[in-house]
Amino acid sequence: MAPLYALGCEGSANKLGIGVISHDPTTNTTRILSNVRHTFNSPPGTGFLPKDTAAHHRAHFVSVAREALRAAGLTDPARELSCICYTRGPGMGAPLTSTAVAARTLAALWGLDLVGVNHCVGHIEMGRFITGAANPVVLYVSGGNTQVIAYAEQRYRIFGETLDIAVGNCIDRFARTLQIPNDPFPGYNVEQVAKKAFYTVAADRTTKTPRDPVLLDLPYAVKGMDCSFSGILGAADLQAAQMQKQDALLAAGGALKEGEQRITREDLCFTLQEVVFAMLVEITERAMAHVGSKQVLVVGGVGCNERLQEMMGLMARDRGGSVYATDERFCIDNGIMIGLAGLLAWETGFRTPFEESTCTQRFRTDEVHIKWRTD
Amino acid sequence: MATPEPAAAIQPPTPPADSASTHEFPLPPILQQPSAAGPAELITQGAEGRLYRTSWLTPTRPCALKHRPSKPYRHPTLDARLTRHRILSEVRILQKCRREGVAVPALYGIDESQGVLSMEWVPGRPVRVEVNEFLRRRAEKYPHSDGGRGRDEVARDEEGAAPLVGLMRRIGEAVGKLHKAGIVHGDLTTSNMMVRPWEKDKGPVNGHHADGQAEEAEHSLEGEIVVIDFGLASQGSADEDRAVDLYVLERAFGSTHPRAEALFTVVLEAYKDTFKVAPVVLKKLEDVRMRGRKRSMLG
Amino acid sequence: MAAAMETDQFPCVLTVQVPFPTARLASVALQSLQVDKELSPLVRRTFTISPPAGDANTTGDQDKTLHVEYRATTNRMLRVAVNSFMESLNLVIEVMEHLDADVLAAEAHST
Repeated sequence: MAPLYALGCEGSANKLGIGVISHDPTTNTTRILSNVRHTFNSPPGTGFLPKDTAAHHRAHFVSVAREALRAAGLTDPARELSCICYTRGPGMGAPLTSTAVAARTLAALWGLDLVGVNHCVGHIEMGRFITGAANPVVLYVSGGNTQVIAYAEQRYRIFGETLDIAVGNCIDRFARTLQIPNDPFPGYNVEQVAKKAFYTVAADRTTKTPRDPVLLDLPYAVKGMDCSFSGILGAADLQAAQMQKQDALLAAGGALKEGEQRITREDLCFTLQEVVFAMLVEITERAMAHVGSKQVLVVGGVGCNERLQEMMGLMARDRGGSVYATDERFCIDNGIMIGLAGLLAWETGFRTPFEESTCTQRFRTDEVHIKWRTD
Repeated sequence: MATPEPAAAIQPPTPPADSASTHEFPLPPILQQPSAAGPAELITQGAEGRLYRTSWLTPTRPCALKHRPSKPYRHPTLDARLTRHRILSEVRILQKCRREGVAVPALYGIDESQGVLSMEWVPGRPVRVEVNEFLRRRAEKYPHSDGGRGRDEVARDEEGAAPLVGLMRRIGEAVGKLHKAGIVHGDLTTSNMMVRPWEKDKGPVNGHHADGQAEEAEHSLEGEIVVIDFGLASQGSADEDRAVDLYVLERAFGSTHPRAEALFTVVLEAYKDTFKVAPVVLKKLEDVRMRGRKRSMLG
Repeated sequence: MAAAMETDQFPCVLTVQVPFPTARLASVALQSLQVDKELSPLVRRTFTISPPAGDANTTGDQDKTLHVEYRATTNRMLRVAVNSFMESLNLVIEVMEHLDADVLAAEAHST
């Protein structure tokens, strides 16, 4: 049997991603033919709003889709593809819908089946394929989700998750507090600022002196395999406000109180990462201990953070296992992850009829029947 | 179907090599001393620490030694803060449980600077193991034609389900007793509860427990529930915290034993009768569940 | 009677006629646009495909005009709903224009 091809369209948040993927059901080999993405970045200090994000996706859909076809070398998608896969949810309503409208149009024009895909399942299948991790505990961390997942009996079961906001949302919102730019993405920029906590730069900007970053005081909130981030964000925002007071005081020629810790942006970003990532590693380790797994796979936008990957690696090594992670091409939202998860479902006979091809902001990972896995 | 020309291949990153599958840990200092009685055996590596089986005072008295090694991934300041806080809190809570008559391991000794805690060895196996074995035996006894698609859930009134229903009831009572004592566990899972076999001439021995059926009795789910691992526990009586405790257990149960998920209501029913405000906690649990469902929205 | 109630409660009406070059494209647009529910309970919407109004018996032509009727409780609601529809319609037409099979085939030949 020849390999099957699918087009995947992702637009649940501020990235519009379209890509072509192939899967050969006989040999179970997967190949990426194209992976095109266009990101909507709002100005520093602001978040992306659903309305503007949807307008972005509509404006770029055609050019991104054409580039995905061109890069994949497809000229007759109606005959070459098996199905059009789109993100059904979870995510922001307006951007999801704008992408689904375009995906429906393509399916209708080309006479192909539609497959609605759970965004989280897309991340997991992509991560498994890219890294070759067969049955890992999955930490899924992004701007909208924080979940610790393990597979059992044809479901991706959620063992732990955030009790309030997502870890990526916590980091992104703190980036806004500090007016850190959103381009290429706020978490990346926070990571770069945190790295600067390891040295001081002389006033003439020529020499760097190593220093130990200061771990500031932030709460640590883990409950079993769940955790919470809103209290940490609140405390970090308070520290940032305190820092601005210190800035103003020092600029006016004043001096800090005896023994008062000088707060810096670098130490703040460093501390935020150290604390929230330690929490994530801890709940992941707890899930690994609970299900007896040695493999851990990190997916989602926050999963590209090198410090998180490093910490996860240290934990996994201690357990005699290893961490599997991907780079920004695959762990940040993209079209091929939707294409892959959709194609795997399509091969088992799953279709999304046109009249049911809506989107849903709430769509839990464990609602999907993972028919393509039999282990 | 036409085969498109492949685009320039995107190379996936190389997966990391698995570390050695037999992983050896250095023993905590206390177990490296020549005077340490008997050999120490690593039982489990939990997330919090490693559990060793060794002996206390005499070679015949088994003891559980819990070592919280420092976590290399954690910032040293944060690590020291968490380890110290958790071990001291665990000690206080174990003592409080004993005072209030909650079945927990007895405390033998503590060295918080080394991150070491030694406790009574609880005989028996974790609820997780017992339940899974029960489900496995059941599946063997009544094999299903659909190849175990997960549809064959245990029904509460089904023949042979009684031992499991009884176990679930005892779990609910144990959690209720814990909450009544003003303790919130913080990490309730079926791995953190032991089934301690009823002692001879002690405890409410069930009818099945006849001598000739030792094999049967060993796997009958009979025994007292002993809650262990209070590393994340806290003292308090907020309905919200208690409800989250139940929610954590409910989800852990559902994801670990999907085939017995329907029986979780038995836990809650038993819980309801254990103390006065238990019904209020159960109401709160509904709120916590609702929040859980909303959580799949974008943050 | 029901229709009268409808007119009563949703007095603000706008009908959009979108002529397509072929019946196939009109049907594609209908399929793509009618799936998502109107989010506001203050707005009602109907889609039909028929020959252009007033043009019914000219050519025995196929049905290739998309008729969309919006009814809302206020003009403001009507405007919001129709604006959102026009944005989606614009996307659908753009996709047809640049990604239909014959367009892609023609481009593949010319390069």
